[in-house]
Amino acid sequence: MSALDDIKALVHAADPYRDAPANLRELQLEAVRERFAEKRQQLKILDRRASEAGITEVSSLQDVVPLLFTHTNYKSYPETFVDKGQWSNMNIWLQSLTSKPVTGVDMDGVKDADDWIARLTDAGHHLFASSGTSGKCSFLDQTEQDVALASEAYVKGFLGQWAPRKPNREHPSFTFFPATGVHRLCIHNHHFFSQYVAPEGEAHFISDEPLRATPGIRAGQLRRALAAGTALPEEIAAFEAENQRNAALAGERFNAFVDKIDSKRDQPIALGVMWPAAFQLMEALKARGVKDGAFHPDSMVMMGGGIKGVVLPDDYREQIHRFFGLSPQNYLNSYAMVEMTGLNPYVHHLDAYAMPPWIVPLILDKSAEKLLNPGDGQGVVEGRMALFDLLTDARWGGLISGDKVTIDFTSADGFSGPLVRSIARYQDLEEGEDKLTCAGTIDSYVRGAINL
Amino acid sequence: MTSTAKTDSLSNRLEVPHFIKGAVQHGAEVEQRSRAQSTPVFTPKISMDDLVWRRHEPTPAFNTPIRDIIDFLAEVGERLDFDSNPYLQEAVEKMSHFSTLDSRVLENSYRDIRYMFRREGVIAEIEQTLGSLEVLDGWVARNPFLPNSRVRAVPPRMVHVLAGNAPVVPPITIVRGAITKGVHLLKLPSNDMFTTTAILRTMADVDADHPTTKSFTAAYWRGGDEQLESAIYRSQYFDKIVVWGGEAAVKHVVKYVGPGLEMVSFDPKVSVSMIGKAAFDSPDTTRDVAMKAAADVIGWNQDACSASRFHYVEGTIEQVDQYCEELVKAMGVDTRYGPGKSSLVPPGDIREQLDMLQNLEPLYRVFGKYDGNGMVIRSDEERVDFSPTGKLVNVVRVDKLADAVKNITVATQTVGIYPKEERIALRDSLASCGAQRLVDLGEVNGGEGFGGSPHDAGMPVNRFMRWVVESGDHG
Repeated sequence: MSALDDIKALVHAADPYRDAPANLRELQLEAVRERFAEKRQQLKILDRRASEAGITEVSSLQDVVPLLFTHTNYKSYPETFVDKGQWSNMNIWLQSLTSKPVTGVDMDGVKDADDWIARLTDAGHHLFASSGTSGKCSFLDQTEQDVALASEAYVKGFLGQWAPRKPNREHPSFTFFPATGVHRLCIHNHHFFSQYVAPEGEAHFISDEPLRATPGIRAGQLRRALAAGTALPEEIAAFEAENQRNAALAGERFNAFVDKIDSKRDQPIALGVMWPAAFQLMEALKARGVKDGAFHPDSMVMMGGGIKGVVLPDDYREQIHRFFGLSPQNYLNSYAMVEMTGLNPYVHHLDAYAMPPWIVPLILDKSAEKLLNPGDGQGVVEGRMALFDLLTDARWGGLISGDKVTIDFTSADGFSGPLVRSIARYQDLEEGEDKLTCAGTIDSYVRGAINL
Repeated sequence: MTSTAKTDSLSNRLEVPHFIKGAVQHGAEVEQRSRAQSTPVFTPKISMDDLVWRRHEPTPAFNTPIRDIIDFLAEVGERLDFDSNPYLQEAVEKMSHFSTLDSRVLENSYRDIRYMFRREGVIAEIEQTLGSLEVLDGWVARNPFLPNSRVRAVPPRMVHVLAGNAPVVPPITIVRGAITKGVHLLKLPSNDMFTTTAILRTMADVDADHPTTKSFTAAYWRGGDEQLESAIYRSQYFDKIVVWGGEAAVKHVVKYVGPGLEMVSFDPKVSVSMIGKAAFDSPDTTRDVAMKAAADVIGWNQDACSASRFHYVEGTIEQVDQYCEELVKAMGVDTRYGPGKSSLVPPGDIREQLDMLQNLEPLYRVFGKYDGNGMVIRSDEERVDFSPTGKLVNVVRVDKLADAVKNITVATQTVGIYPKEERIALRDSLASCGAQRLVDLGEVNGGEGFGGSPHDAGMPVNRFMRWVVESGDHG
């Protein structure tokens, strides 16, 4: 059995976070080595990077550092392919980032990105999409087996076996996320809440409409047309009117969802929510006259994610905690990024987020050049979060994030971890610059007419 | 930290002098931590009262004849000879700590500063933008339609938020400022804290009591410092705030604009080149055209608004690829304002896209390496969707040069064109789409020099002045 198989098998362990073998770090290094040898043959982009960096094999984790990808890679296609509907060119692009042949895809009549994704899915490429603030979508490939492993990985992470309170198919659940769609978490959230949290028929999602990639892309296209001076005011106004209609619809849906939650407040329920939506929910309930602490004390909250640039008051966390009025043990929080398989659940008694054994932590300096992982595998390190995801077969697993983290490599209470002690985003920490230059782009000239 | 290290850091630290109403001010009370630079920077403590002039006192140069000012500027210009000017020499040395420009380019730029002060250029700047010298000195009847009215260009009170990417910004600002006879607060940028004061100190050496010298203040504070900016950016102290580029800087200033306080923005810009099929008349021509084009790219590290980022080239794929190869070679050769060998490479996020686009040949093709000599990404008909920087050009092949006009927008500054027949054929449509300056390829950073030309599609000194009319009989 290869080291990679050993790692994959850990997903099926009862508690992967604590059942990892003592030699996990060596096993991980060996598995990364196997992945590199294999992916280098399959991914031209990786092969070129490796040649430029002079890396022929991975003898230590430092060797992986110049080979890490950022999320930008997954949206590196020329936008003109999408704008002009050149979906076959998108296949060529995808091929450079995926280890499986992009062949046998029925491209007949593909109209938009959602059609394209559906056809790829039929051909065994289970793409998920993620829209950034730029309006340009990233597309990440998965094999069928990647999806199956991810499904189990997410459940293991969500479940938090060591947590003082665990979901037990007793809580009607309310998830602020569509039940289906192109976002990676749609399918996994749905699986978790309907199979593990809520009783039959009691898993509710904010929308049954599939989450699509096209609306975000359309906004980006219109923004570019506006910048190029080709969009005319009526077209922009029509788009904005449509946006307003959609926002009104979303508002109605949100209100109906809040009403449903309000009606079940006196019984134990479960909420699946990110901070900004939790804040909105609190405001909406307060407007309905609900006071702090009006939830059933056995209710649970599955919280995750940052606030992604949403403007909230400084004390939004305190406000939300006070409002739900639940014991800290009733929260199942996690830290994750969409590019990695599974998540890092919060461990109450250690006050940290635990990493799963299939994720190899690579803590780098700010400029992402130097590996800061402690040589003896012990102790606390601060730096840029990067990782190698050993469960992903369709893509290269090496990834650099924009997060600044404090990581504790010393194992504790069976968690081989390591443990993530704190998280911030470099982008939020950067100080405002006053290094002026007169060089600019047309982006400065587009007044914020089109919200992305 | 050991005591040795501490001593080292102290001796290495940089002190940035301020210049207050004609007098240099030394001091190191405030450590500026705003930028990621290895050497700590110290400035004098600012008294906000020093940064403003009282409105009920006329500006120092109000009644100084413009010819005296022109003479004075010409004399200052002579003293700005790099080889004999200690302030400019010191500035080059200190700039090396935090300017990304290499010292050869910086020195060449400093050698040009004196030319901005030439008598003929200064006179052209005044006559072309204000109509005459006399209108600065008094009330001039010049409108035959209203023979009983007289106008005067009255000195303004101004703030200039300077950009630091190209050292032409300070001398242009100072010459234009002197012409207006107004008072001028120059906010230094963190990427050029020395050029401005080097010129002003030279001015003070020529004549510390000259009204023009007393009309200037230059200081560094952290851009966007609300406590300071909201205290001084008021119509009670200033008429106009000039902002040189930088979206963030514009946003800071917009907050304070209101009745009585106007913003003059030299907007952030992008520049391009357009190359007609005549470039492929012979291999020598192609090589020569690539040399000209390269000079327009690499000037000031391709960090200026005039630096070309997109080349629209008329020809077949084979021809255009040949041009790309020549262009990469040409970008590796030093020009007066640009480094041939350098450490400039495209930033990481662009690099990832380039790595990707190389896989899409023949639709895209990448030329050159990440070695600081320059790179090209060639595309077909459509430009790439990022802004090339770090000695990187997007060469866009087009069937007809006129097809490229659609890429010219309100954000376009300079268009360098080859051959001149295309410049003449395209000038109206380019201007109509938004371009501001049309030059022969290779002439972006040289050519005609400073004095009397429009800037940012306007005549800045005309906009700086307060135009006051007096009408009625004097009889």
